[in-house]
Amino acid sequence: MTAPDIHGNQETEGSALRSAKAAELSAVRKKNPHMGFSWKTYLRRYWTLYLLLLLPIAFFIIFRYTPMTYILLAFKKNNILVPPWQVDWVKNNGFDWFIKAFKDRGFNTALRNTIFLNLLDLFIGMPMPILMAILLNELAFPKYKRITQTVLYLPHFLSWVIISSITLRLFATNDGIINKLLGTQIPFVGTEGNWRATYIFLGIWKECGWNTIIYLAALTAISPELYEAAEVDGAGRWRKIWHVTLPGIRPTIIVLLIMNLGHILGSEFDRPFTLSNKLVEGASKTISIFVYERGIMGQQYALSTAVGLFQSVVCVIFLLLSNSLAKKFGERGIW
Amino acid sequence: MSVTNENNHLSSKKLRDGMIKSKKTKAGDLIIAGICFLLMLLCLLPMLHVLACSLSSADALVKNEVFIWPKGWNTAAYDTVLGLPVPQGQDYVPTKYVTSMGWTAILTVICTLLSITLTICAAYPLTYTNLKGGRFINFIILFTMYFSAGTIPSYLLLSRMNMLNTPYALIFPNCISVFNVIIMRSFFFGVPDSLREAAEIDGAGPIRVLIRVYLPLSLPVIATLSLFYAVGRWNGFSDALMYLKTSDSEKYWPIQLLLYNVIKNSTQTTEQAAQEGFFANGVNKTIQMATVMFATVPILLVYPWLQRYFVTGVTIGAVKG
Repeated sequence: MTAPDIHGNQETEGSALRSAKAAELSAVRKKNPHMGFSWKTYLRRYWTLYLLLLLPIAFFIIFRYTPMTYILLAFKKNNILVPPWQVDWVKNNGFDWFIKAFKDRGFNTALRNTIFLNLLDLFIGMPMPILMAILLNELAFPKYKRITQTVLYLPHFLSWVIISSITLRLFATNDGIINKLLGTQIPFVGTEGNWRATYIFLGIWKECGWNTIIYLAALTAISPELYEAAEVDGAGRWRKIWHVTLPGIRPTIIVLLIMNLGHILGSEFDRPFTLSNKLVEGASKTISIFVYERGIMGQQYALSTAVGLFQSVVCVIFLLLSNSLAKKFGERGIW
Repeated sequence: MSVTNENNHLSSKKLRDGMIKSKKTKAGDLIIAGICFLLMLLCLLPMLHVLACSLSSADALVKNEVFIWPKGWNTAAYDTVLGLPVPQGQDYVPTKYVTSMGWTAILTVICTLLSITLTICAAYPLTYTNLKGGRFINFIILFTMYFSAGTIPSYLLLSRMNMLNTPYALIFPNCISVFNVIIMRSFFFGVPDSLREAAEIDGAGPIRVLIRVYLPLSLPVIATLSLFYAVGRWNGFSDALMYLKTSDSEKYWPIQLLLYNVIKNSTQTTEQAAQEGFFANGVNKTIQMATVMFATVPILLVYPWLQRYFVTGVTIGAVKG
């Protein structure tokens, strides 16, 4: 007779405790959204969260913020044997390396190439996934659509080393399969103009399918009633695309445009580096390759740090500019 | 009120039904399907060509007879890459390809486990919106996405830490991607607060809530981010190129760097590479095609199964990023 009693008692006690705790919690939440406990109570309850953050924070401090102290190098003499703050400043108020960089022919070529290739990517490469997403959206057979998507995502998972080794085989001038099929001898990667075209084409080939994902997600958010209404109004496929689909993905397009504009001076390394060859160095050398060759191979650390800093700062400025521009035109922007 | 609502509902439903009925396959649909088919071919043919080359005889390759079907079928290239068959009375000696592939696989597993753990550790506390200092921590994490010190400062740091030419240089410097932290955090935000509160009322601390509530619900996004990290490491090339420079460290070369160097060295000059394609003679060509296949196939086997998940992951990242 006693056992269930005790059991019952315990249970009520437990639940009473629980509800008391719940009441306490919710009362505190209501009174003060910032958890108005004393630091001691707060830490006792949530110290584990700080413990979890410990390693990631350590990572960011060591591998992301500590390198920023080396940015000083960009304003100092080239000497890495002592910490950068002990080295003397260079002349021209410390900006000598920047001035030297802008007088350097290699850097100017790299700067021009980076901007040119990025602009080509922006104007030719960016509309492609939008077109492809609209195409996929219009595809009427669901199962076929899924297979198409899987196949179109494939190139994204190949590395640039793989792609360049395949490309240089397929596009070879004398015995490449493409020239053989066309019956021509076009040096696809042998002249600067052709190389640029190949570079842009391969970028589209690799990422176009992958980049449709974002647009397709935005497309599913468009209410089907808009399409129905357009259909009732007698709109055909093209008019529906123009008046419903495109306006529906406009915010997404703007956000991606901002991101791309922000990266106008940013440069990938793998893509130009693996695709480049001696014949087209005038077109293929970008800032990232310049930094690698001068800095890591040539040990001109101060100069290449300055170049990298210039690149980072310009990236941030462009990002801020394009974001505020988007906001001016009434778009949401990225933050 | 309710009647009109119902009427509206009915009429739109009727309309939709009518639309579905009127939706028969038109010529336009077939044209679109055709274009999609061509696009698929564009993505698949290069890979099929490589596969065919790797299975063809060296002779056929030199004569340039291979398109997407192997000519003079043989698997000699794969045998060479794998170091097979083992000569009688000798032990199996792994070739440099096999060694590098195995090392890259181990490296990929280690990096993925470490990265995904750290990403969870970074993302979960930030879902507590009332965490003291949370906003500041959030800021210092996000800031690194927009501004980075650059290649050389990172390189100098690693050199100061004596990490150059060690495998650690491939593991630690890029083990957390801010973008992935954002994706993870957004997914965590999507978990209903009521679940967390219920667990808290039962006396569970933050860690227990994470393990019992959040992680089981987040398996799709964990799978997605693991795929991203794994692909990133498997395909990673530039960090190895920059950080592993001495000949001692060649044993730590991941497969991509090995492949790059093999292909680069197989031609005497880069001019020749541009003229003739990368490969000097037929035997080399088939072997290199086989290596390319080896370096590609693991990823190609995995990603289609995770497609549903990574589509969600990318979408979350795009919305919140």
